Amino acid sequence: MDDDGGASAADHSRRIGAAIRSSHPVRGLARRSPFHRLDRRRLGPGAVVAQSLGSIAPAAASCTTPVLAISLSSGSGALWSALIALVVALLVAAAINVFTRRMAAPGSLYSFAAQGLNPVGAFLTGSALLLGYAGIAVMCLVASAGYIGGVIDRSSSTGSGPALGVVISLVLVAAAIVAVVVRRGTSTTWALLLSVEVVSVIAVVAASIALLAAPGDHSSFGEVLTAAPPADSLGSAGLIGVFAGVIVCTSGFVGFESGAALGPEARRPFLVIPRVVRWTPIASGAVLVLATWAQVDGFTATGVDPLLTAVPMHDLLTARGLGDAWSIPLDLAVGCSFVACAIASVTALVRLLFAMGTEGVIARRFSVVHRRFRTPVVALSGGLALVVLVPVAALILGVAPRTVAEVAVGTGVLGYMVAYVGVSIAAPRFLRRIGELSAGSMAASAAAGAVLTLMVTAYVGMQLLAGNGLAVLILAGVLILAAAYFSVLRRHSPMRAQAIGVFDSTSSEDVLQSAPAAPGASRT
Amino acid sequence: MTEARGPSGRAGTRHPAVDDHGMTGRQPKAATTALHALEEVARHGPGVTAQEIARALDVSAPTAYRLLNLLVGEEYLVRLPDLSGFALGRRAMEFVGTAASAAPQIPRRARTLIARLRSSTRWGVHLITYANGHLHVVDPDPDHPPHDEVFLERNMERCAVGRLLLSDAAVADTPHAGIPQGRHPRYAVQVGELERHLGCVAIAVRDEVGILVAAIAIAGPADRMTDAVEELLRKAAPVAQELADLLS
Repeated sequence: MDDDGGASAADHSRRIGAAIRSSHPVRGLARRSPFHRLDRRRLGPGAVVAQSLGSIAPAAASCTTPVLAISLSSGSGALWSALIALVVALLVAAAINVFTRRMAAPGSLYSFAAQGLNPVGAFLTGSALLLGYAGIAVMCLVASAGYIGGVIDRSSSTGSGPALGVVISLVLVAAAIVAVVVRRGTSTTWALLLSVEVVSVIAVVAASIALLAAPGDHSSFGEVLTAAPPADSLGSAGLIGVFAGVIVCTSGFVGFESGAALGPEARRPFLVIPRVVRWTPIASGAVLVLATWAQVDGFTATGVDPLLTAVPMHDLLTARGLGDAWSIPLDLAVGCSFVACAIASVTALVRLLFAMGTEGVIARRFSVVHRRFRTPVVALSGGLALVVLVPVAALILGVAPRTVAEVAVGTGVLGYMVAYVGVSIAAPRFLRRIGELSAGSMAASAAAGAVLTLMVTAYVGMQLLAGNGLAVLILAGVLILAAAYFSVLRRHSPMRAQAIGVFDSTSSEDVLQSAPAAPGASRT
Repeated sequence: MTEARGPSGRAGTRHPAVDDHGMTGRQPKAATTALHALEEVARHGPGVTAQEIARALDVSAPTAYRLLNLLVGEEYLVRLPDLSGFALGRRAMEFVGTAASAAPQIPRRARTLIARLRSSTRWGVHLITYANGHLHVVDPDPDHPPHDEVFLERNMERCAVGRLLLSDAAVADTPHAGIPQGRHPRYAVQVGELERHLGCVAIAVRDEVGILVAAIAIAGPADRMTDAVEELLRKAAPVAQELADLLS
């Protein structure tokens, strides 16, 4: 049987050669990709991993989300919340991978949605995604300034928190780093970004393990997961609490798909991007689950109040008697992780503006690329102006850095979630259109769409209850403006509105045996 | 070149080796199914859909989708711009020709010579080698990607590198207008025959007994080709001379 298999493989190989030689040439393809201005098909898998991992900032998320989940009354159910959030992220990843296996587009979810929704739906998805990237970028810039400013502050021991001038200067320095790195392009800078992420993840994992191994009482993973929490400490508010925790933990996953924005620039994108989109949430979810376990365990044993701590890992380490040695390296690591996250978010934001500019849906100037680095520099100036001027203006007007970061992260997470809803609805419609709908992908997309819609609604409610109505207002305002803009565009430049959904489509340089294209097509 | 469809004949043939567990079963079986899928795309021609391939291979639709996505991921296949139709990707070239002649190695010095020639002209410069009546594009100009080998071999009489080979092999029983006559021509030209606005000159690289081993192909705008031939020949002649020593 095996011999037969080997012989028939060799035989097939010969027959395929013959079939290929006598096959019909492909006619009518464009000579070049619509995105030929980008540095296409150059990036290795490492760069795509750096982009996706950078957008999540797993180290920062693992420090900040568990305590929120715990304090949001889900108590020791926080571990369940983290695990369920991982499942939600994997469902969304499945819906996104419907597209990443079949097409590459710098507009990522925006261009994917255009394959399954009507143009208005696609443009709203794109606007929500834009808000997602921008919100997270703003949060990262301000939070990195907070963490690094805190280190400077503590080493100069004034103890009153970093001064406003220091925070604004640090935001500007971080923005300058972002500008230089994104302009230079991921091809040369990904190794640095990936190292920052890996080092900061190692720092958080080490801190979690130190917490779990410190002398004192501990609960095992199974105990945290199964045992009813002790009534006197972290009370569980049941299923509602766990659900609220799921939303918070899911907010720690947003951005995992952003490697897709590098599709046209990656080598073997249809193989590499889906793998990265699937494995990034799994890897960062593992870190999140570990950190959650360590924090639930820590809060239960030490009696530190999760509602009162601003820097949970510190307070827990201090309570376990491990404080000072850890705090500065941990803060520096988290601060750097935030800068890396800002770089990744702006990288994706710039690709999205570039895609819209190439289509002509926004000003075509946004499709201009740097002559040497072949990165979208006009889109970079526009995107960076947005994510720097807004928070700096707010800070100068006297808004507290913490408030700026909270509004930004609320807006960003909402934007991402709405975009995920858009792509989950688009996935089965797209598959039906190309005749590849299967029961499995239908079920996964439906589940992702339903869960996410529920979560967006609940998240809006939570933001309103937490007095963070501004984030909801910003999202609603942007979506209404986007709809109005698009209807005006449709009336005045229908051709440009029709162009929505341009992707890195196959050109004659990708196929075997392309016949000359229609007369007039240029080769050089 | 277009001989022998396989013994089992035309499209739509049943493939007894394929079962529904194509992707999850033993490796040789998965590989065989993948080869069948590739063969089906080649037979049906560009635009064949996933469902048509599933029917032709007699596998379940999800199995076919997985298989096709894998072949697209590895770039043996591509999706056409409508995203539902498939065509052969450039990597399918690996199945054409024997394993030995699939990827001829050339010395680094030869690449250096071609790179130098490229930097001295604005035309596209490619290095082609010949073996057993086949041609191989061993060093394509990255800035002006040439046609692939399968296309060139199917249009031998209309491309400069093909004309050089045909004139040498003396297989042109019915002389074609563009094929150079006489023993061991130094070069061949085509102007606007493959694509209306492009022309190409192929400069022969021969070993000491005059056998054609390679060609330097220089391509550019058709309207300037005829005037530029003399100049291009003068520029490429010393390179062809040196390549003759390296490649023969």
